[in-house]
Amino acid sequence: MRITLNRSGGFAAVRALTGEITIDTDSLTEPSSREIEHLVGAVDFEHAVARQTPKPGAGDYISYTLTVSHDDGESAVSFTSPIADPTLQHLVSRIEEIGREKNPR
Amino acid sequence: MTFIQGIVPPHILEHIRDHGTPEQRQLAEVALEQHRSVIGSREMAPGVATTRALGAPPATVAIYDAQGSTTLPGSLVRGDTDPATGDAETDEAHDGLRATLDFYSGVYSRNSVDDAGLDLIGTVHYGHAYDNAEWTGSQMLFGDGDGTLFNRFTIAIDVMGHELTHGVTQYTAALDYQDQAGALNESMSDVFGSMVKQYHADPKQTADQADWLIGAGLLAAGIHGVALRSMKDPGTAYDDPQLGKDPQPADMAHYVHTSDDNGGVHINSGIPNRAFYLAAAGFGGYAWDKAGRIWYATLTGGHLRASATFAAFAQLTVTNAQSLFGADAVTVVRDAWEQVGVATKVPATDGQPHHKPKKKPHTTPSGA
Repeated sequence: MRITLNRSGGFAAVRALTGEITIDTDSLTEPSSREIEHLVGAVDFEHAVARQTPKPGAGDYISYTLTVSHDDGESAVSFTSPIADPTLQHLVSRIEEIGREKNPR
Repeated sequence: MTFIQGIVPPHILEHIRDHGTPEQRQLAEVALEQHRSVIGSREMAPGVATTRALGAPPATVAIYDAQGSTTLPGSLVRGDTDPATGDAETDEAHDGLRATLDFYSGVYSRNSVDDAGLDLIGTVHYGHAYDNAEWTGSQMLFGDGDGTLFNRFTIAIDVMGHELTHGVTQYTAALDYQDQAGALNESMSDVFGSMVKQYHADPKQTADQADWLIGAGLLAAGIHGVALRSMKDPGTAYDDPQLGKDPQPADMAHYVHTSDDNGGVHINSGIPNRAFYLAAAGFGGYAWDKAGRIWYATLTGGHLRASATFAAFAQLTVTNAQSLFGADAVTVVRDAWEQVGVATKVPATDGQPHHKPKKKPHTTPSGA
């Protein structure tokens, strides 16, 4: 499974916090791979993401696009912070952590 | 200046604005802005702020703690009149939001974001090492920063001023958060956030004393930079191998076309930010007295469209410079915009009302 998280915006809007992180679960350790695949399966994308459009007047939110590619095809969802769904929030945080491990500062 | 507000009817205020001495004109315009914001808030935010209260109690500030979670608002840790807690984020958020309310109230007689005393909520310790501060449309939230790139987001008072001003924009011009209108929305937050910092400095800072930085102290130790943005010199705030380089343009020739960040709203805000700095520096003295008053009238006056371009916004500042301070002010404001590459026109006639009657159908507010 290949997962791409694209981020833009935020109050800081700096290069280090924006742009794409791509993860191939085949290249992760077994526990990390299982965790990510479990989280992707556990997120109720239709429901969690539908509530995640910015409210009128909101500012400095982060815009995310999450693309999941696997053997059956590819699906993409877009949402913004603050992420209300705890599972989706956990998934985004884990992808960002793995991204930082891949490209240590 | 509040002595005329709410007592003198609008048509008399308009007469004073059009025929009074410069000082009388200024007072009348401020009072008229107050009046228009009453009407405006009813039209723009139905069901939200239907009762403007000249006697509404001042807004309160409440700080909540998410304790590293993303649950909003979290638990109450400091109410409006509670003493300092000793927790830096809590106390900085509280004091920064209070300072911002005091600035709007003391300088522009504005009672909170909706001008009707809306109580403010700020959540601190939001998320784990979260690198952001946001206005959600109904509250503010502040992350602790990751400690490597960013310190806590409450560390600079202008961050609280910036976030709260998103609320002011929401209840006034409601600028779209996209492209040039979005960059103007961002610029309003930087402009008023920076003035909050200058107003609460001890002693208060004039335009030439201020640093015009947004987020000074926010970059973690070891990061090469002084702040997140520089209104005086956009594009020079940081240049760091980990963080990247400050991408803000200083003029229209370097406008950045991108689909990221809602069309680069945090990037192209550098252009109107610098125009404001140049106007404030051109007037001299405290930024909020002249440049700030002109920008405030432009944001809250009811004639700025939600989809406004830089050029439309600039033209309205010129019109407001004329009606508030006269021809010399027009020159200062037009020079400022010209230096960032935004052309404006001389207002048609001295002393004419700068807008058409609101009730007449199919009229277009000039310049918006």
